[in-house]
Amino acid sequence: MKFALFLGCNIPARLKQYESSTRAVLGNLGVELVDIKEFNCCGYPMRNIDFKTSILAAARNLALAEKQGLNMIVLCMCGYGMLKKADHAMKEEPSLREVINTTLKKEGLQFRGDLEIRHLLSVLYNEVSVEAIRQRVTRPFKDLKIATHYGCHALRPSEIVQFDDPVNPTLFDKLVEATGAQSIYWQSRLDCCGAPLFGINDNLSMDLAEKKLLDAKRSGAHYLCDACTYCHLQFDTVQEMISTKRGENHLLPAILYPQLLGLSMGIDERILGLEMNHIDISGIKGFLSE
Amino acid sequence: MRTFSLRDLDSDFVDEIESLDFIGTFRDCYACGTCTGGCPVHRVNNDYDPLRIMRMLVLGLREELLKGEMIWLCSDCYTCQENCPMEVKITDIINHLKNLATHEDNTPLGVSTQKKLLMDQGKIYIIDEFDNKKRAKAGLPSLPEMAEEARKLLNKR
Repeated sequence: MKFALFLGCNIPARLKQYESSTRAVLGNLGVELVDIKEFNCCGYPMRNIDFKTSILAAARNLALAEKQGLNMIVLCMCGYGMLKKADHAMKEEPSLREVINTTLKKEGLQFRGDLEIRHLLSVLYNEVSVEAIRQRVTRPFKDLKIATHYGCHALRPSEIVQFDDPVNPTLFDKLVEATGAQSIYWQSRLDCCGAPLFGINDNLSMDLAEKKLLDAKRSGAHYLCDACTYCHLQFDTVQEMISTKRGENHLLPAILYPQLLGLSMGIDERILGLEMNHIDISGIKGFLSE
Repeated sequence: MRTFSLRDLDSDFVDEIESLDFIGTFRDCYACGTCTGGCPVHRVNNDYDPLRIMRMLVLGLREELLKGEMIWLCSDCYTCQENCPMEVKITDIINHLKNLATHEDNTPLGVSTQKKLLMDQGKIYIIDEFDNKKRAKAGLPSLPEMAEEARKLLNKR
């Protein structure tokens, strides 16, 4: 099992723990990763203002992976949604594909459309399997309640992203439960984290995050688990900002899925980068069985 | 409540948007309000209302849509589009309206800043020597400072 690893812009600069924990966990499960250093922005930040440039940026990444005959694994859900959208748009609209390919040709690249784009979670669920993951879990969590946060762009628009049932998804819950933790039900679990509004209307963005965190906490969760760059920045960095600006105590610390899985696999917490999260999550180790 | 005169309605604008392949028809909207009912932004701030955006579009209230703040409050979560019983591509439409608003000088600073970074660097964050040292310490491979080839390509378009 071999994939081109697409990190996007944020992870290498601001969220290295997502990268290091993913590499460690996938290495343990026998998934091989190839680094393509020429990758650029996924295109997502441009979707609002310049649709064609966003498709071009996405298409260049897809073409680079295709050139090496590799499928792609994406860690960020916004990036995943953007790359899937570009793939879909170019397959549906031959004229768009032609325009994009004419530009890509200047760099000797071409989008053929024969690669698979997968999110980390769907690789773990569909390619690796929950059973294989369970076999690698050496220290399962005990009595740990997790609010599993799916993230919008893995689920919607479902006809394009094809990740899981958009109304009643279970894939991420099952992956969380493979670690021994309990994935609880909470009403706003499929709602937006608010990250796309940060930089446009910060207060509104924080309102969305705060509402979700309160709901998850009231529903009995000890931690929130996410698997998306923007969701995690929102529930970690921005949550800290909410505490400072609004005088709220930390509502609910967030842990990235590969950090959660890595701990249950007995992987060194320094490799998982636990201390790199803004909000202290070291207490979660207390839920690991001996 | 504001009132509009018939002169404010721009039917060419409605036709122009409806002619776009990736959007398709939106005149099927029968104002059931499922979009607004499921909208997480509306729940915390009822100034934002996707049904109102759809009705404004069907009427052709071009200026009001493209010069106002409302479209920029959409968080792009696709809940409305996923739930729409008439399969109107609401989020895609709002994203297209944001594209058009940009040509009317109605772009939030946070959004235009990201565009500038991308056009200048090919990615949003530069990876400098210090970042690469930290990456090496964490056992991660080094990365180029910016996506130079992508930068050139994006500026050629």
